[in-house]
Amino acid sequence: MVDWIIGSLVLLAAALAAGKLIRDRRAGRSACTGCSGCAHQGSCPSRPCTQEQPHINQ
Amino acid sequence: MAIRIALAGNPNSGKTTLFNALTGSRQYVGNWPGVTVERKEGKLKAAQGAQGDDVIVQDLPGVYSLSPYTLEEVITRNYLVDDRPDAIINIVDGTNLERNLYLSTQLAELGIPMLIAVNMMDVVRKQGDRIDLNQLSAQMGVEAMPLSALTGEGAHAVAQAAVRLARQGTVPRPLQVFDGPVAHALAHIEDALTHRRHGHHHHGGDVRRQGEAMPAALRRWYAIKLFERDDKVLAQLRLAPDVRRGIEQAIADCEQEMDDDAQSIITNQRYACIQAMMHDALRRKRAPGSLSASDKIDRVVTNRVLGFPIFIAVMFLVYYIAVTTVGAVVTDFTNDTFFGAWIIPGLESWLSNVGVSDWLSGLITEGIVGGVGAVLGFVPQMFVLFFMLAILEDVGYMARVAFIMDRIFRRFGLSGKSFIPMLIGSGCSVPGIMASRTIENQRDRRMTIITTSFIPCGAKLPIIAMIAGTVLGGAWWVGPMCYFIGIAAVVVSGIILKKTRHFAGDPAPFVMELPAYHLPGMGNVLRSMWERGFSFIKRAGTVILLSSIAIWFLKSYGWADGKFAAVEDMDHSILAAIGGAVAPVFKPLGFGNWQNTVATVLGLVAKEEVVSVFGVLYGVGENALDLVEEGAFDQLAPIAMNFTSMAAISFLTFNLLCAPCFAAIGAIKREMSNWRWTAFAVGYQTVFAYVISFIVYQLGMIVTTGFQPVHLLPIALLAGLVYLVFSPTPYGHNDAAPQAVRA
Repeated sequence: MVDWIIGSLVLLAAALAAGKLIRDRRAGRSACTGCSGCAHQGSCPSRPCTQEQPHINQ
Repeated sequence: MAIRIALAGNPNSGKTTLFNALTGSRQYVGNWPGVTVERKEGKLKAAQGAQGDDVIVQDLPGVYSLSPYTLEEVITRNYLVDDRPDAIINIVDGTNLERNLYLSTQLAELGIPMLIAVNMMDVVRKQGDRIDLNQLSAQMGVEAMPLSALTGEGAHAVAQAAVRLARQGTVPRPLQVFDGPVAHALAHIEDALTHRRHGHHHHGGDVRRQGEAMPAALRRWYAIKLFERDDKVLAQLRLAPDVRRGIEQAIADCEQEMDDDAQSIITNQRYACIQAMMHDALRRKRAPGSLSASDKIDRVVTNRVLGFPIFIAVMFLVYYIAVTTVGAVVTDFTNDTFFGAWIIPGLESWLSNVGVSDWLSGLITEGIVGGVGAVLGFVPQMFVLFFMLAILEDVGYMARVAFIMDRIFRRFGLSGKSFIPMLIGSGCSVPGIMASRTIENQRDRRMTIITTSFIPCGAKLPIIAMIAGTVLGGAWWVGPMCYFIGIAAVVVSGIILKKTRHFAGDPAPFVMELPAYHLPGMGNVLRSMWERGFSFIKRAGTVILLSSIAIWFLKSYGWADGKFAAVEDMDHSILAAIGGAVAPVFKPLGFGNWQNTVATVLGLVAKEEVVSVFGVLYGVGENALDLVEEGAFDQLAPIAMNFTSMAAISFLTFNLLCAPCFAAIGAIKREMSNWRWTAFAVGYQTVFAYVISFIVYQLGMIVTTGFQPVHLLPIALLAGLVYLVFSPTPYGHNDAAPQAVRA
């Protein structure tokens, strides 16, 4: 019984972690990694592109 | 119908601060179509003068001019020329008026109602300078108003004035910037545009028929851009060949008469006009040519001879404090006391008391806590390091590093512009690789993408700390050594790749703005430290947690006596079987056992994983406590027993230089837009790391074990590398390439 309870908690933690990773990836969200790119460039370099077409400078 | 007001100005002039003051929370943040540049739009607050109308405020990217060179410039001018807002608020930095007015002269040519908001007036007053706004208005032909966006002083008046201008539709009177042969040539070009015939022009993928003559308000602007031979305007207008020939002749005549190229002529005349304006409108307390405090500091810090040694000394000091002294004390407490003496024994005891099975207890203590704890154990050191780096950034020193590195990089055919993504990559390789988008030259961009991950990112710091702490006696020089290995790898790779057809060519010019030095703001420093550190902790709670569970399972189960079951000896585990199959590859590098192989391979998931694997395989703090109880103080931790000193340096070198984590490889794929180039990048990084580690380990063995015939191979490889670096390039290299210029 104890194994089931503790084991379920471990599974829940793993599921929450996996869910967060999948949700962030689907939303194109990348949490701040503190790279200070915003300080150097004025905007977050991790923000993904919103369209498929080639970039202006390519 | 809504009134649209655009905020335009140089980077760091205060546009976003004003934007936030005018719109508050009524903002929408997205991206400009097709690019990663942020697009911010908001509704003007009623208190700021909206008065029932919908007033949309558009915060445009910061630009120095409306040239077509950078993404931000193209976006800004496309919006102003094609979307035509109802008014422009041009924010200029009052402490740097001359440079900011360069853009103002171009904005005034667009024929859009405009006012100039002179920002940072509080700083101007503090410096003892005086700006005559009435004179400036008279000279520029537009209203000039005072503003202090940070305090909000003047924001309401500026907003009201912009709304009034938009409703009235008052276009600025033409500014007389150009004279003599230039004015003559521009008049000729304007005349040609006035009588342009029907033709197609191409804009953003849609073909539009331009049945009418050029709009009068834009004729002047287009004439100037044609005089400058602006590629994008030429492509857009698609002039008839005879019209184009006539324009080109007018430009050539002017260039001959003024003995200069068209772009320089325009630039010089604009600055001459601005200088004349400043003579009447600006009174400086400091005499022209005298140095500010920042200038005096920069004479030393960015000195041609002292700049790089000072950078080395600063980085050594940072790592000495973060890794060896303050950071080591708190990390030792976290590893040995917090996890080693409190958490793990306490958890084991509690799990045993409640009757949890051995396998589940093992999963929790050895797997989850062992793996995650190994990474979290370095959090204190990371926080100390991030704190110190945040101070360097906030003070303004890190911006100088790119300038210093440009001087070094340029000797090897690289540009300091490539160093900024690497500087960002020292936090995390993913945004570092994505930041390479700012590099217009495709060759340089590809090379930057390939070499950015050579600079140790935040995730590699635990590997450095682990090796330095367990094998190399806590040596403080290991951290800085890793950064210099990274820089050396960038330089060597740059030299070698520049000798190939795909990467040959001159480095791009590099101009950057150096912010003034100021005392670090503790709020900014602590916020930066927290964001970096919290990101580190979040990864431990997600990626590392999941992989620790997987690794524990793989190391705890295997085939014993022909059956699949839990194994006592890890050497019979699934993980050992997988690692053992690959381990021979790493034997020549000195760390060819299955444990080190698994750690290295799993570093592809996340670089912190290397530490986490050792944590799961050997436990966090457990074995250290046993050694203390046995009095075996002279015995190193089990991790250290995996390595000799040379093998540890080889292991460190390989993990620093090899292919980055999957997230970074994904970023490489996105930026390269091509699987072939992605495979080349990853392949190059891995082969380069293998060769360097092989040379390091084998040559180290010559010192420890004496020369053996097998050592001829690393010597030959080293000779080959030296040849590749010093051999003459088969492709032209212009030694007179433009140098970095401090803006």
